[in-house]
Amino acid sequence: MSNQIRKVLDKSFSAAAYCALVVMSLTVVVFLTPIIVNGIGAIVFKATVEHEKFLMENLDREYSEKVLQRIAEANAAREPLYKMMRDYERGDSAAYKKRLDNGISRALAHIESGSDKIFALLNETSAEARVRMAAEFSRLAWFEYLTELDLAAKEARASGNSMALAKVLQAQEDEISEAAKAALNELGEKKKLTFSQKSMLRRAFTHGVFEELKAKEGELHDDDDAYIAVKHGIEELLGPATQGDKEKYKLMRQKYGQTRMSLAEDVLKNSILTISITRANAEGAEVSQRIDSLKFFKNTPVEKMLLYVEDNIDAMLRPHWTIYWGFFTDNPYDSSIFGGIWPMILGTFYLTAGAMIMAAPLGIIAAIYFAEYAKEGKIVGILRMCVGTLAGVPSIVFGLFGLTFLINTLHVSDNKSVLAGAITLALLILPTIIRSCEEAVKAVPNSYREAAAGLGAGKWRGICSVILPSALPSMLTGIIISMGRAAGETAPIIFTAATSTGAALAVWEIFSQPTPALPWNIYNICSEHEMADKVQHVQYGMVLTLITIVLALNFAAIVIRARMQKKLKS
Amino acid sequence: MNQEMHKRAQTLILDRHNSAARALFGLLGRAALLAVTALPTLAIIFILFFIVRESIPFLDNLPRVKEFFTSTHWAPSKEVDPSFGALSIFYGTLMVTVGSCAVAVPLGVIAAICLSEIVSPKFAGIFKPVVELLAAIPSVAYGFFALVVFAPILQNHGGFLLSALALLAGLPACAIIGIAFSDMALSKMLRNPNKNQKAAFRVIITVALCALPVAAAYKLFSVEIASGTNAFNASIILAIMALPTIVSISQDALTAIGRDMREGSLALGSTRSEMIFKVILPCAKSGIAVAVILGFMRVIGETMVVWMASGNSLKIPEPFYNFLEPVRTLTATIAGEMGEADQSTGSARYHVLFAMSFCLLVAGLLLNGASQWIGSNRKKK
Amino acid sequence: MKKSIKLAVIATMFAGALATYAESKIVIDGSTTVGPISKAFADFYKEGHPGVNITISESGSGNGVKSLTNKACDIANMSRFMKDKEFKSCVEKDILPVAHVVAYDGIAVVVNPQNTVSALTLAQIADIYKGKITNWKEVGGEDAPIVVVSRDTNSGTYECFSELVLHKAEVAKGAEYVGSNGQARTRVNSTKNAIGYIGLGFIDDTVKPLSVNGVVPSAKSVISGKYPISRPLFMFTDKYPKMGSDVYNFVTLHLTKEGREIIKDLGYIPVCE
Repeated sequence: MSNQIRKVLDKSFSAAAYCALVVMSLTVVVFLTPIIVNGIGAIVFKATVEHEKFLMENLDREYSEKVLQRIAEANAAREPLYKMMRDYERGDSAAYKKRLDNGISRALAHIESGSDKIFALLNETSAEARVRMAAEFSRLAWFEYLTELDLAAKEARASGNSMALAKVLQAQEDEISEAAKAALNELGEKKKLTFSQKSMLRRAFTHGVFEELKAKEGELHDDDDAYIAVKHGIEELLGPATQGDKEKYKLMRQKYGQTRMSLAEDVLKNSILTISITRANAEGAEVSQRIDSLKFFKNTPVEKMLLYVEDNIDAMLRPHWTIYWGFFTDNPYDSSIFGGIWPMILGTFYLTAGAMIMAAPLGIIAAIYFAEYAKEGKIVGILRMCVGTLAGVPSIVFGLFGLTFLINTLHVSDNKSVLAGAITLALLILPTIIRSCEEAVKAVPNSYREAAAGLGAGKWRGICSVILPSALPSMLTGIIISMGRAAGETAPIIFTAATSTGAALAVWEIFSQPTPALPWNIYNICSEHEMADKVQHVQYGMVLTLITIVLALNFAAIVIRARMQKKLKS
Repeated sequence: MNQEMHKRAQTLILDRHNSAARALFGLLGRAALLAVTALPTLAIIFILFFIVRESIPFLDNLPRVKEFFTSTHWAPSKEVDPSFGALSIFYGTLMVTVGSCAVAVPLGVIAAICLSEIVSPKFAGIFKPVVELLAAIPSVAYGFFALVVFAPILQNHGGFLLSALALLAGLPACAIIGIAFSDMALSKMLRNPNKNQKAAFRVIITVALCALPVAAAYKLFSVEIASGTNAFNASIILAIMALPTIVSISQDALTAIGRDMREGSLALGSTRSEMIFKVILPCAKSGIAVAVILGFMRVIGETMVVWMASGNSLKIPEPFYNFLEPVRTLTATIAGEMGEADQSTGSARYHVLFAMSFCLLVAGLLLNGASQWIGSNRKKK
Repeated sequence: MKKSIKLAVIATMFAGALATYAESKIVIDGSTTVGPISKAFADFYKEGHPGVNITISESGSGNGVKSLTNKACDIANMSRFMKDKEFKSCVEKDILPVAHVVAYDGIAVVVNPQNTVSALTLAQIADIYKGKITNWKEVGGEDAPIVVVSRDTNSGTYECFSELVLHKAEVAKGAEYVGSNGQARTRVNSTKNAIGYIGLGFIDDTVKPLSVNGVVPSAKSVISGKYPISRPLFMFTDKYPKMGSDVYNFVTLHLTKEGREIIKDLGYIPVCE
């Protein structure tokens, strides 16, 4: 081969070698970049006023005037939207009032015989009073209320219990708003009606309204479905419209709108501007379809609402950049949709500390024995082979052992617990600790040992006073790196210590209670969670936190080693 | 510092116990030490023993063992006549291991060579943290990346990614081979080629060769990956996980070779890469073999990445080398079935998991033994 | 420094050993379908009883019953009833499992929103899962292979689906297995040609529910009985819990008005109106 070719080959090999390094560095960058960027996004993000409302009301955060003003401005920006919705639900006011008026008139015709006097009275009732009453019945919520009331009245009547019926009628009286009461009382005063006559009057009004609305129900069904879908979308975006609605809801996620602007924009796109409705398709089968709301509601009042939401979303939510340190210190609320990840961080801490407390002393002593005392015989050889094999055993096998032996057979705890998980992790990192500590002890120069012996120290004294301290930096490094491994391990703790939900444990609870832990919860939240796309920021945040903890431990180990080596060398 | 040594020496010199008492103390202390050491080692042995013991009820039954290793029908939860054919699961483990090592070993060894031979020691020292970083990242973070970031990319842009990889890997390789080959061929044909002839020949052959990766890329571009969680995904991520092990141990083996070897070879007029390939690598081959074996062990034992990103399908991919199909591995099966299998509710189902652990143990034992044997052979040399 | 660390460790373990069994807790394990109900109940219950630590694991119905058998949990969430074998092994270990039906649920068969198919018959779904239909064009969709996503064998949802749709036939070989409802939904959402089955409460805008035999899955259609794939959701306890205890309050939450509202808000169907 000519020299030229050899040179070319040499250069190309060098190029390939550099490429390999570049590929490795690129791998690190490609791997860490999305995690760091999105993980930081969990803490530094564009928050909306809903986020601050949540923190104020649930975590007792105090806020400045500026923030309270912002909340007030956001609420003010929402008012026009809510007004539009109320008007729509009420329908066109004049037409709706006429509808109710018709209903009331028809209802008057249903009043039982023996009450011609009432009939006459009602006929004389001023239109104005009727209109006022009708206005009070105009909220959509009345529809549900009337349905319930009707059911209750039917039941009461069926039971034949006049007391029950009176109770229902009394309940009606309690529910009717002030203006309606005033109108009725005014009428009653004028005409000197008795209690039962007043009740019948009220009954007639509510009954009539109910019938009328029911008649219109079928017509509005389809449109209503789509409108209700849009309404749900708006509620998902902004939260409940009134305090009454808010108290009605039990789940935290329904009590607040979107706390993060990026999620809010998703909701706008997927739940308001496009919606899912159930319709009959060409073959007549009912199918679920996604439709474009603006197209569907073209030239209707709902289109105006949709355009208002789209144009004013910033005014209604007032997004602003914020740093949410509470991500690390707050408990999670409602399946991690709100709040932070404190119990997971604490659980990881307990497990790692527990594993180290159990494994480090045993490992150090075993390493000293192997390095100093053990004679190279068959037994020691077998022991070494066992330690070596176990170092290569998959972590899931440790988990299996922990579950079947520690929990099911030994019953170290009644159920999953931090104790069982820590023991399993300790067993996992033990071989590595023994190996690295043994090497650290072996690396101590023989001159140290000879010096100690020369000064008259017994073997044990020599170890304690001379060898241990000088081997300590390397041992500590190995132990801390093993701690980093224990912190990141998932498979051993799945069935021995980790749960998907739980409170942050106090120290005395770790012996009998399981805990959430970062590695397991990362797996859980990106696969099993029921709203995985709503909590993506939490996923990335947890991964970033775990990687930071492990890397911090490794970094600490390196720094300790460097420092102690400097100290010993000086 | 001197003061400290002085203080320590003082304490040692003051060690003036009665020699008999001291001997007794030494003996007792040693016994105590042995006892304490025995504890963790006993625990370790007990774990091994426990796994073997619990897998015996399954391995006792010969026809079932035969089914275990030869049948692909895995249905352990059937109430009547459950089947435990784990062949597709073994194949999945094999596929993922081979795939990841096929990527990690060349890349890792070349990177190790680069770090120990080609770049300056200072740069190698700066690069060390990169390798340690890759090693320290927890496996669940890799699994998260595989599932949440990599799988959608494979899913939506699979063809693009594969063709880009083909180009990235193929073009430089073909360019290098083309140039070298063209020079060789030309020198065989003409005695003293001049510059223009050389250049022209180089260009022709290189372009001809580069047509290969371009054609491959074109064909791969239209590949539709049906599902982003498959053997390819798991293999790539596992390769990244195995890299640090391979790189650091190979690097140690390479730097352990004395300077005299290198200098001798260079003195004889070899180029650097010839020195590496003909002198250094053969010397370090046992160390590198140990590194590869340890990388193997790391990959076989990995649970979280394969559980999340390999698709968990029970079929052997067709054709058998199709990495773009989902597979299932032993470790993922243990993790998935572990919760429900119980001593009382289904003994075969429970014991088969231990049988799988036993297989993993045996594999680990063999690999560990192999690496120790190679390592001791090296020492003998 | 070493000495004080040693002392601290010993002191902590002492304190731990002394005060170990003083706290109050409920340990819940089991189905991923019932998981959201348990989590919402736990949030609600903790408001009124702040000292109770409720931990919930969602590892599958089979795991739940296994934990109950080993006395490792107080409540086992299950989306299917106990099998005979499980019942027997409970009884053998002195545990009398009592079933509390907390909600009803439908199993929705979902596809990717971009899939053109919107309706299938029960028989077609069964054939897809058994491997007899392998391409979407056979059921009126595009020409693309069907990616079948099924649940792990420890899943109650799988058992119910297997019983009601497949009639206990085996799932096709090439099917991919996922470990939870959430994972199934994510797979279907990210894989264009996938089909999967999830509980009713997991339907959202990221997947498209198919109408089965002409009926779209919803709370209404399940209650009316028109939707063919529905099942009750259980919480199992060891014997009937003592009245007034935390476990008792928890498993009877579904009978209260607030409990029913929570169940409805989550997308499930309360047992009583």
